[in-house]
Amino acid sequence: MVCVDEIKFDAKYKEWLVSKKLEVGDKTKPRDVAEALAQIREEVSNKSFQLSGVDTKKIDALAAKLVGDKRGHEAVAEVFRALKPKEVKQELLNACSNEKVLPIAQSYFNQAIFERVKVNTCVKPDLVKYVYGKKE
Amino acid sequence: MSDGKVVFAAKYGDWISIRKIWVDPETRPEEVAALLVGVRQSIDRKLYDLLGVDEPAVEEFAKRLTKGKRKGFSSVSDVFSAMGPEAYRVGLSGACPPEALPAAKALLAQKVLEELKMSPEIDAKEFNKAFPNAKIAKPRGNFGKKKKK
Repeated sequence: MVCVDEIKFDAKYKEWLVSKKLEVGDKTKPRDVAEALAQIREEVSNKSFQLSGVDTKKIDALAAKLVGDKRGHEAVAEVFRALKPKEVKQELLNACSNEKVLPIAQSYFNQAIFERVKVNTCVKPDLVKYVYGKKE
Repeated sequence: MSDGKVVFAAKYGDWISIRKIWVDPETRPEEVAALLVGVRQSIDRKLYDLLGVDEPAVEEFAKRLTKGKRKGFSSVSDVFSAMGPEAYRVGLSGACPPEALPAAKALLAQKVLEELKMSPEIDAKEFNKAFPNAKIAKPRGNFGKKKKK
């Protein structure tokens, strides 16, 4: 039970070990809380795909091959326009533990493409730093 | 006998979020994954709240951008090629303070993809379909907002 203000994440599952804790006191700024949350978010998001039976490394490699060195919004449009649904599906099936997790692999694929072209679809620690850097 | 655990416990002002699972050799990976998706969803809401991004306003804008579009790669291409700096400036003005615009843009990209059924995150419905025995719990509690009297 959390009595004092704090942000805590502990994971011990097979070889996966993580421990992050931020005690929130009078001197803690919202920026510190946001950074801690963004770090935990990064940790759990990727792991949730892996534990769902998706080979994230295979999909990262596929995204890297498809994106190359393209960056930005124009790259999103260009890359998605060039995708061949049947071929992508087959590649994604190769990265799935079984066929039923294909929609989850598809989500990771979408994320990996955006990651590669450097267009954010979530709040990362760097983004928190940037926003609060502008604020302060 | 428990071999491990995964615990997320947060209390910050009015915001409280607690999710945990005790892990033993019988625990299936998808059970842990379901918990992690719940943690991620809870964090996302609080992060945008902390950064001052008006989530419903961004969602509304994403709906306008994707209206009439069908699911698929080509729709993602169409919508993103139409999302220039002017579209952001106009569409997101009022949805966040100026310094939080990059965070609002990130949320917009996520919402656009969700509207096109191309979510970049694990979709609870799809997950629950794939793993009916390890369902993702629906978000509970308040998110640091004042309670209605």
